[in-house]
Amino acid sequence: MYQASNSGLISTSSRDLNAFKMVKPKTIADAVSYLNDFDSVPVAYAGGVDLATAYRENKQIGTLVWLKEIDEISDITVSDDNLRIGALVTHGQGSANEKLACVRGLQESWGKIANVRIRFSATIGGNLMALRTSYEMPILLSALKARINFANKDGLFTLAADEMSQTPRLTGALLTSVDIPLKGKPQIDYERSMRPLYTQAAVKFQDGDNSLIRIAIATEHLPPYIFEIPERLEDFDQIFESLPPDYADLRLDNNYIRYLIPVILKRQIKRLAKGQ
Amino acid sequence: MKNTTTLSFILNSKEYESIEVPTCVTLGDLLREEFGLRGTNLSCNQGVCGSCTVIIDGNPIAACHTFAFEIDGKNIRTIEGLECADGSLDPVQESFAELSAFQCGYCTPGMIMLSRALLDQNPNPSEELIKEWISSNICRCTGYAMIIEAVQLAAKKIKESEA
Repeated sequence: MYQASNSGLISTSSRDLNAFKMVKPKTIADAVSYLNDFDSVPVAYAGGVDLATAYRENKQIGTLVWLKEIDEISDITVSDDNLRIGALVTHGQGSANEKLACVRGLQESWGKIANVRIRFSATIGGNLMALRTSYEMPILLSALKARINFANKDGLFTLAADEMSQTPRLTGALLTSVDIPLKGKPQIDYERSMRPLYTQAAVKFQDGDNSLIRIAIATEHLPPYIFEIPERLEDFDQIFESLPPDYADLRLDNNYIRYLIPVILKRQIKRLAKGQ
Repeated sequence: MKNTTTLSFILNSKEYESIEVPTCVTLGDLLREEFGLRGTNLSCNQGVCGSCTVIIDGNPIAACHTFAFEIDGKNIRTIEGLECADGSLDPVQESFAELSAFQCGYCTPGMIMLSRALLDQNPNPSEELIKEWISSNICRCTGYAMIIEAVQLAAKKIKESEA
């Protein structure tokens, strides 16, 4: 009845896989403890979008650490100067939550990620911890100057969103929440009309009478590249000065990316100015 | 510690208690192999195509990349559970059949479950909303136009039956 694992077919039945232990921590401390028991080959699990597929592709799971019962990382809270999004918040819950109105455009931008069906299960924490360049939260969060909060056996630590792909510190760490600073009344516009080839997030920050646009660009295969410009920039050539000449992938060369940035940015600036 | 887990859930309106399942079993395999519910079609097995869509607590979920242990305490509906007790079809099934909103039919159970979840959550969906939802699943035959029309017809049928 069940296809054999050596049948040569692409999809294997669960019957071909080895069952694993499962633990259900209810606190951050317990989860961190499980994740640092390296002899048990622990793997964190939340929305489950990636793991079943990875498991079929021979990812080793000794102990599955099911995070969904940790209430303290499930909420969205807003204070005067910060929006905090718990790691277990799904794309669907987040993009529909009115607390996100404190960052204009964030609900709409977040709601563009994935499809409706995936949005019901995929979490913000999973999107970030997958560390995949094709996933889009790092682009949005890098543009928003977000900070990612972790707990590990030594305590708590924080990384900037755009540092995540470069850090070796995530083994044994639990992503607990994302902080988006509200200083400068950020407004975001996310353009993904060329997805998956290219996406671009632009965030407008108010600084007194001036405003600044922080831009995160990314392709499916490259991590976000971030730069900032004054909103009233007249010479768009200036924004290319800092872009590394090797920021390119097999499908988009550097010259085309340099062409795309201002094309998309001009309409983003218009939408941000209109508050759309 | 055992590598199995014990689940209680409602599947197509029937309650199941203390069902022991290996932790590695996906919901798709559980439904097809243990419950014989072969209408949940597995295809890509990585959550992309949506042919295995079932409804869990009102939300459409791909059964192929959901581990079975996730359904503990939840209410699951599969395509087999849409049929009424008297054997008549659900309005969404009727609409797909009336408008021939399928060709090869492989994606159809998933499309119908996705559409049912949409109509449960949004009884009067706009065409734009239908497109947004339907684009979650892949159909390589129809070009989607007939599926969109079927969802609109189903919405109308449901509204009429409730009136």
